[in-house]
Amino acid sequence: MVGPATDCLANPLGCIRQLFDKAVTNGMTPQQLGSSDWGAKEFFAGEIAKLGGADMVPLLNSTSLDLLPSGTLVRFQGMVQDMFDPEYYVGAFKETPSSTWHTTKYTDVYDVPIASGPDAQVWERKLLYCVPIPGQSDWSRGTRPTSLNGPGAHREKRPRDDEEMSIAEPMLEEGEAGQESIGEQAKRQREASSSGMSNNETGGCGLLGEGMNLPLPSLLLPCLVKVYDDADAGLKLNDVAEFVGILTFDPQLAAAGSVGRGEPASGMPGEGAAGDSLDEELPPSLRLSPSKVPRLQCIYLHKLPTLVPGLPPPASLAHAAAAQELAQSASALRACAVSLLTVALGGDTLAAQYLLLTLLSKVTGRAEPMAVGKLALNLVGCPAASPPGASPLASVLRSALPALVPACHLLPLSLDLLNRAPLVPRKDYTLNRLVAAPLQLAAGTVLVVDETALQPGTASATGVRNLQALQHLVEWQKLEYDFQWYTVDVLTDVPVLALSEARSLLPADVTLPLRQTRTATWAPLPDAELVALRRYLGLARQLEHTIGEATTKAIEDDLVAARKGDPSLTSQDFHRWLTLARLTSVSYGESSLSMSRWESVREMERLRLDRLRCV
Amino acid sequence: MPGPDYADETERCIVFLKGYPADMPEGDERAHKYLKLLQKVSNRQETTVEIRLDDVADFNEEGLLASIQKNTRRYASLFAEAVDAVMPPPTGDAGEETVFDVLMRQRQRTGEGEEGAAAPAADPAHKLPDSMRRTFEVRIVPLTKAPVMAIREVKAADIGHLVTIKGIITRCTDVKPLMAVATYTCDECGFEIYQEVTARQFMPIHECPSVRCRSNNARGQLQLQTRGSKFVKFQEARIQEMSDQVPKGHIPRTMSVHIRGELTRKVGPGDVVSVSGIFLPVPYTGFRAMRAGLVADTFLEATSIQHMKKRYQEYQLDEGTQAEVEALAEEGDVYARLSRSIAPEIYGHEDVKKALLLLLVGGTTKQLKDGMKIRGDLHVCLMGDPGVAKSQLLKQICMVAPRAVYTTGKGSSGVGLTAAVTRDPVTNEMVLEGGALVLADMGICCIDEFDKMEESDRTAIHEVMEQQTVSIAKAGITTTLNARTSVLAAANPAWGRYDLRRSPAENINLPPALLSRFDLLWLILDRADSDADRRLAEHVLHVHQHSRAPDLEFQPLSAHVLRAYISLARQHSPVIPRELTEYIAGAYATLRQDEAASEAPTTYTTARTLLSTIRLAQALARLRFSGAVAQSDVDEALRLMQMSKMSLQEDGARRQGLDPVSDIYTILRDEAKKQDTTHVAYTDALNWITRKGYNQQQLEECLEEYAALNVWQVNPTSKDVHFTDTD
Repeated sequence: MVGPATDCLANPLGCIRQLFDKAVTNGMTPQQLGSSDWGAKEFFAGEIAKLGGADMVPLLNSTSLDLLPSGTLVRFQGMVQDMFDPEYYVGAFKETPSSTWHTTKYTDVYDVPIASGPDAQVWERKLLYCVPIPGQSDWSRGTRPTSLNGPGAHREKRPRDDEEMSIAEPMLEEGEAGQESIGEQAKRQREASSSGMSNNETGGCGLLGEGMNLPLPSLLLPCLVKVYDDADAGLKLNDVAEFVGILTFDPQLAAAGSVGRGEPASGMPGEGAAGDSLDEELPPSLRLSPSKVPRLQCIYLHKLPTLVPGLPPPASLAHAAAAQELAQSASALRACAVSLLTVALGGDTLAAQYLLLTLLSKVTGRAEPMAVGKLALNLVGCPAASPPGASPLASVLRSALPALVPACHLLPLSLDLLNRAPLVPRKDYTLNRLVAAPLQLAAGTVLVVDETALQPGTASATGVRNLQALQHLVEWQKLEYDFQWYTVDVLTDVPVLALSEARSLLPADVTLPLRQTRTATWAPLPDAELVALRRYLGLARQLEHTIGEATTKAIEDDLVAARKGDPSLTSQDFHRWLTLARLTSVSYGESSLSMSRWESVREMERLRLDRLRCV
Repeated sequence: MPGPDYADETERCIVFLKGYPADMPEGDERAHKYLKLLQKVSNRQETTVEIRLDDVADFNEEGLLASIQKNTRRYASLFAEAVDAVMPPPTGDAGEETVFDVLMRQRQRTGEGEEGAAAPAADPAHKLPDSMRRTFEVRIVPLTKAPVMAIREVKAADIGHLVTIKGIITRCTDVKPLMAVATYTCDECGFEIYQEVTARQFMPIHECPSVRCRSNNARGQLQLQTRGSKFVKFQEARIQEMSDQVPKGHIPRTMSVHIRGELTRKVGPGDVVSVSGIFLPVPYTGFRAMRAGLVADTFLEATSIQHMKKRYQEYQLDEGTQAEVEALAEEGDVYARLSRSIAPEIYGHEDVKKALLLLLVGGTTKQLKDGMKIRGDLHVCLMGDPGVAKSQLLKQICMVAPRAVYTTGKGSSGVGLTAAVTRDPVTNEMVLEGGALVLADMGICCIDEFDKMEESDRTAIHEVMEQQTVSIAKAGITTTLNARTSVLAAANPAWGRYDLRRSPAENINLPPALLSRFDLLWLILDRADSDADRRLAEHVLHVHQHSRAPDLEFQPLSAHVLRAYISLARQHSPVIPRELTEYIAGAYATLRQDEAASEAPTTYTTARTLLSTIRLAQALARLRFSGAVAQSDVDEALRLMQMSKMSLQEDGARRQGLDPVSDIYTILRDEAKKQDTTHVAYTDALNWITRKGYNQQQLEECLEEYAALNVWQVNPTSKDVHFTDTD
C-alpha cells in the first residue's frame, strides 16, 4: 500500500491495520475482534471532520472511478436496490511462523497467503447492491468535489490492465454484439438527461441483461457495498444512503472475471439457466464484473433524508432555523412556484396549486392499510399527442419537474410498455437477484404517469398485472414485489401525477379537469431563483405539522355538518381534505393548521367539484 | 488448544448405542432401542440410523449433547464408526444377494487370500474404506424442542453447528448420484484401489499407489470402475425465508441445502419446510476461487426435513400458546373477544365479525351411511356498498385462516375458480390445474366481487357449495376433485350502490339458488347517522394529527392466538342432544310460518336454513370446547340468522311500523298463545326476543311498559311474565 499509514484518504487500510494491531495488543480475544470495528468508525469520522467534512472524500461515480486507485477512501451515494445473502470470509488469522494476527476485514484481496488453521476466524459481512438514485435530477447530484480536487487523492490515472480502462469509455466503445445496448442506452440517456427528466422509453426491459440491474437507465455506476458489524441497521430496501468506505479493486479478480469462461461476467439471465445444477452458479456478488460494479468496503454510512443539497437534517438546530426562514419567505416563494407551474400547465392556476401540493406530499404515517399524507393528482383533459407518443403537457413537465424536484420519473403508459415487462421488481431465482423495474423508486421521487399515451388494444397478463400494481401504488403507496412463491409488501412514498384525457385508470385522490388557456410552456427561471425554489420545496416537504385542539374541534364540527348536508361524503373525502389542509399549510411555511387555511381548502375543493360537474 | 480425544468420543457413542435407554427392565419393548434398530439395519430392513438428540439428552452422558450440536459432522462420522463396532450379525435370511453383496464377498476373499501371501493387505492403498462396507447412513436428528430459526438468524458463529431453519423451497435440482467412494482397478497389479470422496469434486488418481506397483515401478494405469464405486443420492435445493420472517423493507435471504441419501426427493419448489442440518462452509475451488478471493460459500447439510403442515388438524401448538389459549378459555366471554379480534381496526360490525368467527370454526361434516355427505363448512356472503371494508374483512380472514385463498370473481388466471385442463409447456401433456376453490380444499376460499363472476364459474360454484366437489369433464379428462372449502364471498349491489327504494331481491344481483346456499348473508350499508359521522370525523382527524390509526379500546388477540384457539375448537365435534332437536324443529317451524305470514318474503327459508342453524350452533359449541350443543348455542345461531335477515330488510321491524317495544309484546303474546299458557318465564322470553334481534334492555322496557298498562304482571324477583287476559 502506498502513502503514510496515517493518511486516511489514501491509505485507509493502513489505518485499519493499525487499529487492528492496537486492538490485538490490547488483548482482545478473537471473538471480541469479530464483533467490533476496533474504533474504525469513530477514527474515520473524526479524521474526515478534521479534513473539513464529507465533501473532502472523493465521490465515487463513473467519471471518477478510473481516477481513484484501489484501496482509497471514497464516498458513494445510492439507493439500496437489492440485499444479497451475507458473505462469509476469513476475517482474521494467525500467520504461522510469526504467530501474528492479520485481518482481512474491509478488503477483498490480501497479499499474504491466508493460513487456514484452527485460528482462522470466519466472519460475515452483508452485501448491499446499491444503484444510482433512479430519476435523480442533475442539480441534486451536485457538483461536489470529486477526486479531481479532493486532497490526497491520486491524480495520475490508475494503472490497470489494458482491457481494464476507464468505465464509461469501454462501455461506449465495446458496442459489439452482446453489449451494444449499454452504449446505446448510455448515449440515449445522455441526451435524455441533458434535456432533463429521465424518460424511460425502454420501460422495464431486461436491464438485468446488462448486468447493472438499474431500475431506470443511468450513466452512473451501481456499487456493491459490503457492510460490516450491523452498520446497516435500520437501512431498508430503496433507502437512499451515503456510504463512506474503501474502494477495493483487484486486477486478478477482474482478469478472472473478464477472461473467465469467455462471458462478460455480468450475470446474463441465460447464463445461470444453462446449467440446471445449482452448483454451476456463483452468488451474484461474485458474478458481477468488478470493472463495472466497484466494491466499497463500508466503514460507516448514514441515510440521506432528502436529496436536496444543503438542507439541514430534520430535528436539528439548523433545521429549526431553516423552518423559521421558510415561514418568512414561503408566501413569496409559493406564489413564484404557483405561477411557474401555471405557465407549465397552460394557464390553469387551480391545477398549479393542486400540483404544488402533490409535489409537497409525503407519506407521514400509516393507519393500515391507509397511507396518511399521500396525494395522487389526476389531471383530466390533457391533450393527447397527435401522433401517438408523449403528450405535449408531458414533454413540458419533463423539463419543468426535474428543475424543481430532486428526483422524478415520467412513465408514458403505452400499451407496449405495459405489456413488455413487469414494472414491479421480481425475484429471479436463477440469478438469485431482485430484478429491478421502473417502479422501484426511492422515497420522494415524483412519478408522472402519462396515460394519454395509451391506445386501445389488448393488455397481456403482464400488462394487467402492471396496471394493478400501479393502481395499488397509487391507492396504498405499497408495491408487492414478486417473489414467485409469495409477494413482499414494500412501502413506497412516491407522489403520483396522472395525466389523462378522460378519468384516469388509477384511483387518484384528486381528479381535476384541466382548463388550459394557452399552450403549456416551460419558462425556466434564473438559476438563483430556481435554487431558492428547490430549497423551499425541500424544506416545506420536511416541515413538521400539527393540528391544534381548537382547530380539531372546529374541523370536526365542520365535517359532521358537511356529511349531514351531503350523506354521500365518505371517509375518503375527509381524509383528502385534511391532507390538502396540511399541505396547504406547509406550503405557506406554517407548522400548524389554521381555520383560514381549512376554509381555503374547502373553497379549493368546491371549485374543483364545480369543474367536475361541468364535465 | 488440545482437541478432544476422538477415540474416547467414539467409545462414548458406543456406550450410548448399547445403553440407551438406560434402566429399562429386560424384555421391555423400548429396551435397546438402537441395538434393535441396528439389527434391522443388519438384516437389510432399514438403511437409516437416526440418532435422536432427544435420546442423547435423555441418556444424560455428560457434555455429549453439546459436543454433538457444536460439531455435528464429526460426530456423525464417529457414530458411524460406533455403529460399525456394535453392528450385530444378520439374523435370518438376508434376502436375495445384490450386486453389492457379491462385490463385497469378492473383496473380502481377495483380502483374506492375500493375507497369507505377500501381505499387501497392510498396504493402506488396498484398505477398504469403512464407508464402502456400510449399508446404512447415520443421521442426527435435532431436539424436538430445538429453536426453529429464520435464515437471517444463522450467523457465522453457527458454522459447524446443528441448526434448524424454516423456509420455502425455491429451487431444487434433480436427484443425481454423487460418488462417495471411487473404485479403481490397476492394469498392472489387478488390485482394487479405493478413494473416499468427501467433497463435491475430487481429483481422480491415475497412478496405482499400491506397494507392488510402486516397488516394481510399473506405473500401473488405474481404471475407474463405475459399478464398483459407491454412489449416494444427492440433491441440492435452495431455501428462502418465509415472508413473515423478513423484516419490513428487507429482501428475503436464501441458503443452499445439500440433501443426501434417503432425504432426497422429499421437497419440491414451493414447499414450506423446516430443515435441520449442519451449517458448513466450503471454500470455492478452481476458477471460482479466483473470483471469490477470501470468501467461502456456505450450505446446510440436511439431516432431517419436515414439511410444515398448514391444516388445522396438524397444527402444532407450543406450550406458551397452549397456556395462553387455555387461559383465554377460562376467562370466558371468548365468543365476543375472539370476534372482536377479527379485523380490530374495522369499527363496529360486531355481528358480521361473529359470523366470520363461526365461519372459521365451522360445523362438523357428517357422512351418512348411504354415502351422502352433509357439509359442516359455513358459507357467508357479505354484500354492501363500495367502501364498507368488505374486501378488508376478506383479507383479514385470509390472514387468520391457516389455509385460505383470496381471489376475485374476475380473477385474471385462466384456471379460474374451479379447475382447468392445460397443456404442460415442458412435457406437452395435458394436466389438470386446480383453481382457487380446489386449492382452498380444507380451508377457506375468499371470493371478492362475487357478483362479477364468470358464468361458468357461477354454475360450478353451486356444486362446490353443496357437494363440496368440483367435477371436470374437459379434454378427455373426467374427474371429480375435492373442494371441501368454506366460501366467504363479497358482492356489490346490482347498481353499484344499494338502492333503498328497490327491494332487496332487486338489489342483490345473484340468483336465489345460489343465495340459498349461503348460511348467512349480510348487507353492510353505509348509512348516515350523526353519531357515526362524528365518530368518523374523530377517527379521520386523529389519523391526520398523529399519522397513525387511533389505539383500540381493547387489546386484540394476535392472529396466532386466534388461530391456535380455533384449531383447538375444531377438534371438538359437538352433537345435538335429543332434547334439543324438538326445540330446533319448533324454531324452524316458526320461521316458516313467519315467512308464510309476511306479504313480501325477502328470504327463502328452506331445509337448508335448518341445516345452517345446526351448523352455526355446532360452531358455537365448539367455541366453548364442548362436546354437545346447548340451547344457548341454538338461540345465538337463530339470533345471528335473524340479524342477517334484518340487515337485508333495511330497518327490520321498523318498516312494519312497529317499534321494538310493541314488537316484543307481539312476540311474547304469540309465543305464549302457541304454547297455550299465560305464564312466560323470563329466560324463555329473553330467548325468543334475542332470536328476533332484540336485546335485554328492550325486553325490560317492554315488560315495564305493558305491566303499567296492566296487560301482564311481572314477578318482581324472577321477572317472569303472567298475562292477565286469558283470551
